[in-house]
Amino acid sequence: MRFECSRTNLVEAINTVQKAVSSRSTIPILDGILLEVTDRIKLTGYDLETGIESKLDAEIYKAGSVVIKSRLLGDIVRRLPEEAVHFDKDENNIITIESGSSSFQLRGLPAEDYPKIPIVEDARQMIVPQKTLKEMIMQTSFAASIDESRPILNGINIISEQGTLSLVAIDGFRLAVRKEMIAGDLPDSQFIVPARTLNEVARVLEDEGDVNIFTSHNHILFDMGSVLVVSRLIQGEFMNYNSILPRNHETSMTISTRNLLSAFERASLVIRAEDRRFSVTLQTNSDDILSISAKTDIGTSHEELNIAMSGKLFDIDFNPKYFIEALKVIPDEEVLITFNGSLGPCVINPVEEDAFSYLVLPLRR
Amino acid sequence: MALIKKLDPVTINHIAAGEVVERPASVVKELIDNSLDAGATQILVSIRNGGISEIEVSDNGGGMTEEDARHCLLSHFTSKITTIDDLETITTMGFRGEALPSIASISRLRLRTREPGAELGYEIKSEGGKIIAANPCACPEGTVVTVNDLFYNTPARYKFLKKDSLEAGYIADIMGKLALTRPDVSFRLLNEAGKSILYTPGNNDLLSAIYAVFDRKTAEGMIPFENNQPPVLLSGYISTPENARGNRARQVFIVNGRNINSRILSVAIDESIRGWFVKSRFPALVMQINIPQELVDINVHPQKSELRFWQEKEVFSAVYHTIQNALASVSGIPSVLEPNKDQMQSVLPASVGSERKSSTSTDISTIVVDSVDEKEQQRHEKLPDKSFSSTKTQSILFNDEAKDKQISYSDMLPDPLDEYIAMPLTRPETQTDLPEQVSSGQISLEHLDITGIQNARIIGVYANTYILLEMEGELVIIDQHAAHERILFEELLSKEPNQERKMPSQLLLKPLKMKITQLELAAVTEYREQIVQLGFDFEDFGVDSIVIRAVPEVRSELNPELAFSAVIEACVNENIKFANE
Repeated sequence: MRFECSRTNLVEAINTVQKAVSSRSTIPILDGILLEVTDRIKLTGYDLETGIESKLDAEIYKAGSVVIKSRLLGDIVRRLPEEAVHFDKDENNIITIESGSSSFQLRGLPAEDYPKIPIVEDARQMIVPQKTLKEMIMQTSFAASIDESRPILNGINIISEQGTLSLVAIDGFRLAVRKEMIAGDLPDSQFIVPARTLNEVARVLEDEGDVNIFTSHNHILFDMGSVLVVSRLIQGEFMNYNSILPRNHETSMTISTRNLLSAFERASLVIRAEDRRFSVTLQTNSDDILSISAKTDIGTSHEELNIAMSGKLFDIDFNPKYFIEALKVIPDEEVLITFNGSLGPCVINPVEEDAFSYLVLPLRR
Repeated sequence: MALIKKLDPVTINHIAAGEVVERPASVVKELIDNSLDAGATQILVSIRNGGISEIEVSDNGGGMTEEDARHCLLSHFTSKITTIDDLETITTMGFRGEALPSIASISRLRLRTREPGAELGYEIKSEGGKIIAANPCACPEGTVVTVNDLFYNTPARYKFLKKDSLEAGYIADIMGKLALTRPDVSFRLLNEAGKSILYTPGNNDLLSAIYAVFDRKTAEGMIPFENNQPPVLLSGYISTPENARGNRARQVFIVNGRNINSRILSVAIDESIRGWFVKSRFPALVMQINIPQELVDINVHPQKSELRFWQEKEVFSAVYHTIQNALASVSGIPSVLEPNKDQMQSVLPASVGSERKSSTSTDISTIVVDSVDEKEQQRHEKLPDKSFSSTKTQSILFNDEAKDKQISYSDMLPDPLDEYIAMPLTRPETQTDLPEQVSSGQISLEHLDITGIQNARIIGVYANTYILLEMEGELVIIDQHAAHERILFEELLSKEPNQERKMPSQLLLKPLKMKITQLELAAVTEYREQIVQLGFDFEDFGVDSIVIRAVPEVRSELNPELAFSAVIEACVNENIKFANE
C-alpha cells in the first residue's frame, strides 16, 4: 500500500469517520480506522452499531489496506508540516507517514481482522435533499431520550407515507415531529434510527445535493456521495404520535419566537441548573399580554410580552428547558402556541406552516 | 416448689405459632403446603378482610380418616416423617408437625375432610387449639380448612397486622410464588367479593403459570435456561432486560420443589446479569433447582423459607454460569462480546508461530513513535490467551460496573466473590503478580481513613475517570463518577424540604400502564399521599395494574417505570422516609 494525498482532505475524512470509532471498546481493533486503498482511499470507522466510510482521491501507487489507531492517526496527520502526505505500508503492517522533512513509523493492525460493516441488502431506497434532511434532524433529534434503559425512545422514528417524510422524536415528556413533502418516488415505510447516528449524519450533510437512504430490515445506509453512514436500526414499535397530538385546544396565542426564547432564557437565570424544583410560569391576565415569571430561593424574575391570544386565560408551569430547546430550532419569526389548561398538552407550531410541531406537557403544581 | 416446669401443650403451640404464623399469608402457605402434600391438583383459597376474618383453603387431595383428622391438630403428629433419618430424604413440603396445631391454637378453626370413596366426611372444630366439636358431616372429597378470627387470642400479634388490603397482598404474593413452584397444580385465589385475584391453569406448563402470576409481556419475553450437570440441576426462565424491574420481587427460587429465599442465589443472579442488565434493574426469574437432598438443609427455619447448601460454591457457580450462558444465547444482547470471540480465534493461531515472534522482535527496532503503546500491543500479541480469554472479558465488565456499585447483596457475602465466580475456570494468571491483599479483594472500606483528605496532594486525573491523590505517603484513588454521585446525594439530603410546594411533577406524554402485584398495589395505596408529595401521580387501573401519569421533575431524565418500581420497593419494604414526616 502506497499513496500520496492532501493533508486537508485526509484530516476531513479522519474527522468524519472518527465519530464512529469507539473510544472505549473492549476490542482493541475497534479503536482503529480502516484504511483501504484501491483507485481511491477509503477510511472506515465502525463501533459495531454505527459505521462511517469516507472516500477521498489520492495519487495511488500501490493498493492495500491496514488498520491504524484512530486518535494517533488523527493527531499525527493534523500536525504534519506540509500539505502533501505520503503513506507507505510494508508486509509487516509497518506504516510510514511522511510529510516534508517529518517522518513517522507506526505499527498497524491487519485489515482482515477489522469487522465488516454490514451490507444493506434488499434495500428500499429514498432520495431526499441533503439540506431538508439536515433541517429535519436538527428539529427533532434534541427531543429523543438519552436514557439507555428505554432503547426505542433513543431513536427517531422515520416515517414515509404518501410522499411525505416525517421524523418523530419522543422522550416520554415531549414530542417533536417534522414533516416534509418529498418530490419523486418515496416508498411507504417506517423505521427507528438511533438519534446519535442521525446527529452524525446531520454533521456530514451539506446544503446542496441529495442523500440516498437505503433501508433493510436491520440496517439503514445514508449515502452522501463521498461519505457513507451505516447504522443498526432499533427494533420495536414506536409510539403513534398522531394519537398524542391533541385535536382541540382551549387557548391559542401568537408570539415572537425570539422574544419568547430570550424571555425563557432570562427567567431560567434564577433557577440553578441543578435544582429542578422550580419551574417557569406562563400566565395571562388579558388577551394581549403574556407574563413569564420564575420564583426560586435565589430570587424572582418577571417580564411581559405582547401576544395575540384567543380562548381561555391560563396559568401554567413548564420546565424551561423543554421550551428553550424547541424555540431554538424554529427559524420562523412567529410561533403559534396552543394550550389545554394547566394539565393538558401544549403545542408549538411555526405560524406560517405546520411542517413542525412540538408538544410538551406542563409541570403539575 | 420447683420453679422449672414443663409447659402445657396449649402454651407450647402458642409459642410455636409465633414462629410459624406471622400473618395470614403464613397460614395460607402452611395450608397450601398440606394440600400439596395430600396430592391435590386444584387448590382454592378464599379470604375475607385480608384473611384476618377468614381464610378458607379447599383442595381435592387425598383427605383424611377420622382418626387422622383428630390427630392432625395435635402437635408433632405428622404423616410425613417418622424418624430423624427421614429428614435427609424429605420430599414433602411439611414435616415438623407444627403447622396445623399452631394455626389452630390462635384461631377458630374448622376442618372438613373426606377420603376419596369414603361415604361420609368428618368435621372437627376447634377454638384456640381446643377441640370443641367432632362429628361426621357432608363434605366434598379432599380437605377444606377454614380459619376464622386469626390471632383473636393473641392481641400482641393482632396489633401488628397491617391493613386488610396489605395482608391480602401478602397472601396473593405467597400464592403466586407457590403457583410458580407447582405449575402442575391449579391455584385460585378469591377475594371477599368472589372476584378471582389469581388463577393458574395447572397444565404443568411453567410459562402458563408465569403468564398468570406475572404478566403476558414478561412471559413472552422469557429466556429458558437449563443445566443438566449434576449435582446442581437447574431449569427455568429468566426475563430479557426489557422486562426488568427495579426490584427483585419477581425472582422465585425453587429448591427441590420448595419455594425459598436464599442470599447466595440472589447474589449469583445479581452477578450473572452484570453487563446485560442496566444497573439496579433486576430480571423476573423462576428457577427450579434440583440438588441431592443430602446436600441441603431445609430445617433451618420453622417457615422453611430459608435453607442451607452444603456446597455453596458449586451452587453459586452452576447458577452463575447457567444464567450467563442463557443470556449470551439470546442474539442481539451481547453484541460486543460476539465479535471478540471471532477475533480471538483469528488472532490465536497467527501469533503462536515462531516466525511471527521473530518478525515482531525486528519490529521493535523500527518503531520510533509511541513505543509504550506498541509494547503494549506486542504483549497482547504474545499473550493472546490473557488478553482475549472470555474470563477476562467478563471481568472487565464487572470492574466497570463495580465502580458504580453501591450496596448490593454481594457486599454482605463473607468470601470474596471472585472465588465463587471463577470456580470452574482458572484464574487469570496476571492476578498472581498482584499483592495478596489486592488479588483477594479484601480491602474493606472500614480500613480506609480519609479524614486527612483535605490536605492530600492532587496528583492528577487518570483516564478522565479516577482522581489520584497523595495522602500521608499513600496513593488514594477516587472514582470521580461515584464521588460526584455522592456529592449530589448529600446535596439532596441536606436540602430543606420545601414546605410551600411539593416537588413539581412532570406529566407524561402518554400515561404508562404498569402491571403490579396485589401486595405492591396495597403498599403504594397505603403511601399514596407521600408518593404524590414526591411528585408522582398514579391511579389504579383494574385489579392488577396502575397508570403512572406524572413523575418528579428531577435533575436528569427519569425512567418512569424504573423510578416507580423503586418507590414500590420502598413501600413494600417499608423503608420509606419522607421529608415531611
